[in-house]
Amino acid sequence: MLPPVPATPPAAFDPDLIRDRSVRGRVAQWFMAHARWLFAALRTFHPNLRLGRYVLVTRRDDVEEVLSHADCFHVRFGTRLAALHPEAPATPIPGIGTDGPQYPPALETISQVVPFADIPAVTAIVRHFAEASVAGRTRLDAGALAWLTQAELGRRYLGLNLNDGNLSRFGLCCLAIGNYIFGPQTETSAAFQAGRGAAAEISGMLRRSIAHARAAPPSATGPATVLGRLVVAGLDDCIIESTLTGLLAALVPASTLAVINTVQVLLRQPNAMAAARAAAVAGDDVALFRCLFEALRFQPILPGLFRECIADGVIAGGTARQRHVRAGDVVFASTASGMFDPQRVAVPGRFDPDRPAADTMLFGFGRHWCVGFAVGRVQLIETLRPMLRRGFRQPWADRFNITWFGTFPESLMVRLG
Amino acid sequence: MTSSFVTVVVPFDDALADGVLPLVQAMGNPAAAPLRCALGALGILHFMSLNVIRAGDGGGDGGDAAHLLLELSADGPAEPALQAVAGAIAPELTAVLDAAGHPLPPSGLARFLARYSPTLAADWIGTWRRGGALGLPFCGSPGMEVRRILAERDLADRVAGWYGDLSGSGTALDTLSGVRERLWQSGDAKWAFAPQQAPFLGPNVARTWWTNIKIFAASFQDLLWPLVLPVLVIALLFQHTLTWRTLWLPLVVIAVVLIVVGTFLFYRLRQAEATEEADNIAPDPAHVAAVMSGENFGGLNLLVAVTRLKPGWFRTLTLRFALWFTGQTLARSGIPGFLGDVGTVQFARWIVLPGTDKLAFVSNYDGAWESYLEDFIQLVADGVTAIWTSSRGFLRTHLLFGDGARDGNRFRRYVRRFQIATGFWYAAYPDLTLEQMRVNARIRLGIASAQTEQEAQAWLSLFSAP
Repeated sequence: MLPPVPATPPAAFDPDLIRDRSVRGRVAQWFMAHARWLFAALRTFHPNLRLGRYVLVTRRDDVEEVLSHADCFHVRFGTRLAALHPEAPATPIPGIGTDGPQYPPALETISQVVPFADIPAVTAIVRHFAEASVAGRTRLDAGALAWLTQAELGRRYLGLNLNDGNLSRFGLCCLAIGNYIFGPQTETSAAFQAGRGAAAEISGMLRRSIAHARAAPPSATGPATVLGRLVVAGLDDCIIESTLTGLLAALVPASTLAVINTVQVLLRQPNAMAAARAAAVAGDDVALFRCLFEALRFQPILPGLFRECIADGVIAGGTARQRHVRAGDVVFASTASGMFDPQRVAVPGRFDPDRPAADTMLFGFGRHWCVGFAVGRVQLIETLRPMLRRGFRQPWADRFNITWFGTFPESLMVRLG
Repeated sequence: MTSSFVTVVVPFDDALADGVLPLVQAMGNPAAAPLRCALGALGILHFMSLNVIRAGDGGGDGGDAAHLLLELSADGPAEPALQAVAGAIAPELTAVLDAAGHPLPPSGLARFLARYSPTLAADWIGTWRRGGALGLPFCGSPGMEVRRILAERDLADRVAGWYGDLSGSGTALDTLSGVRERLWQSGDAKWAFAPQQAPFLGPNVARTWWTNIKIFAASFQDLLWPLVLPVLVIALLFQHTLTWRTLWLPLVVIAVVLIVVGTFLFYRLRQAEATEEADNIAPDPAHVAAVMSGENFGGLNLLVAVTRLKPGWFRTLTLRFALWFTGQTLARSGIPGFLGDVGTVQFARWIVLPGTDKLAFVSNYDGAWESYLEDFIQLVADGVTAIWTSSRGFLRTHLLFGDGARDGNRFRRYVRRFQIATGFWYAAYPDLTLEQMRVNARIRLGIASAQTEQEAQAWLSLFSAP
């Protein structure tokens, strides 16, 4: 059974801890959005750069090598998620975001409770919320649309019971968790404080939802929500809670960033905007996804993935760029750089919606390739489709009117056509 | 991940060869079950072979030493691969080396093998430096790890088994969706949904004038610099007299040197081609029978041929040029993994055995020997001719690339004559041809990324009718 909920969480969730409107923050975000030029220089002159115990890997071959070799390079998501749950240290997120023996059964569980058959239901949730949010508006906060839509999907698809109905608070909690586990922040940072508070707040809500789901009468057609399926599968409450936390951390923050980064690329690249708009107006979902996916390649949700070395090893062995790594080193495998490596990707700087799917690494690579890719695809298309049908642009004044919530744009104003 | 080509060449007294050969043969062709299990468990080894090259092989007079030729193709760097193999089959390898007069403790095996493992190169510096040897490696499945090849094979078999259940259930896209649903529900095939590049499915890069210019420019870095360097040194010594207006002088000198040397080599080549003897000797039937007895156990085969280089510096130079030019052409044009138009060579290498005049060609290829040779004759006769014409008795050629292997019957006889019977051969996937490997990769890519009805139909067409 679950350990008791701590009477007082470590720190109440305070969104202002990571809200940022400073010039420094904007410069940092601008740099992140345009980091591919730095990666191009690194690929040419120093493909595997060591900075203390950090190793920055930029060539596609080497990025694939790092992300493929779970025997040497372990993911950190699981330990970070577990760090947000100090009250249940014995039951970290089971298998999700780890490379231990728990991973295959955890993956199997996720495959069972998030089947492809759910895609129409997911599509309906996202489409309805996004269309309702866009309808009748001439100005739209694309940032808020992005994270509120994903939060709504998380609430309804997972089957969570928000007693207070405060969707925006729930969404910000998810973003705060994502901000910590996907970023480079340490356990002493404000990001950790905010993530810790958010995890505690969500934990209480999840426990209420689990209790509610257990009390609900069984359905003749089987449970329609992920939570319902986890309950029917006979899993322990603690495992259900940690699984839901992991799913929320993937479902809401990652897709929020995907949507908003795609919007930013479309605003910057008129040819990408024209192609995406034409596909949206024509109702061609395949073409629309290819346009959006290709646009996202220019500003992916993460510049790369962190891996922790658990044993001494070598990257790019036998080549001139060979780099030895030691146990305890942290390797940053830059998928953003790998997607622009001209040795493996044809004309990488060109916007090409017909590019082979295997050129991109937007869902990661190797063993931990995103398990939620099918849902993520729907989230990206359906959130942006109503905006694209109307057409949108960003007035000059609004270009400087962005509020960052950690690494997530909380607010990004656009004018609809 | 790049593949490593490890080639170990250990000389030993030819008088001991009669004792070494049975030990090598006992390891099996194809590999004996225990060795197959031990090497398969490594999960990184594509192919491995071990053969004895007698002093007389290649038409020698028997006065040289014999050699143990161990070649392996593996994922990742060479050193860990060699260590892994040495650890997996240490008793067998130490027994062979012991019989060859190199007694070793198992702990020193990997270090010993590494000491006799040259790096193949065709440029001057690569072959002159310690541990270098003149040669050329070729990989038909670049970037494909053993684990991936086997996983994609199993995936294709699995999906093909569902074909009857799923076909006819609607559109091609419906069938593909059904396959995806089943795979996803199985819980262990998430990897199949991740689109992953397969270089050998890449586009055919046409060879253009620009390609030739790049190859010519690369030749200065790899081969021609000894001609250019003295001129540049002299120009540096007299730099105080050089101005922008006199800068043309060293460039003209370089051009003149290249033209003079080129003209000399051209006439030397014509002279060699006019005077060198071409054998037309039929191979010994008993030898052919011995060679053939080691072929066609599966869908793949191994060819090891050893010839002796023609005496003198000139043919070593033409061999170096032919190997370098072939390597450059393959790297800069065509489809990755294709040897020209030949897409059936899995892993191959040419190597001049260090300290000898013997040229060994080792190739792990798809299909039967006859079809493989036919591919050589019909599709890549230029390259094969340019490389093998440096060997004694090879067919008469014209301007290095012409004639030669195009004389099919004589070329087949030549190869059979100098081919040696396989001693030990291990293949991680002895029935999986490159063509099937490419189909498997397409099946996986289709599962991961096909979205339209047209793409789904193309995907379905990858399966033959049940």
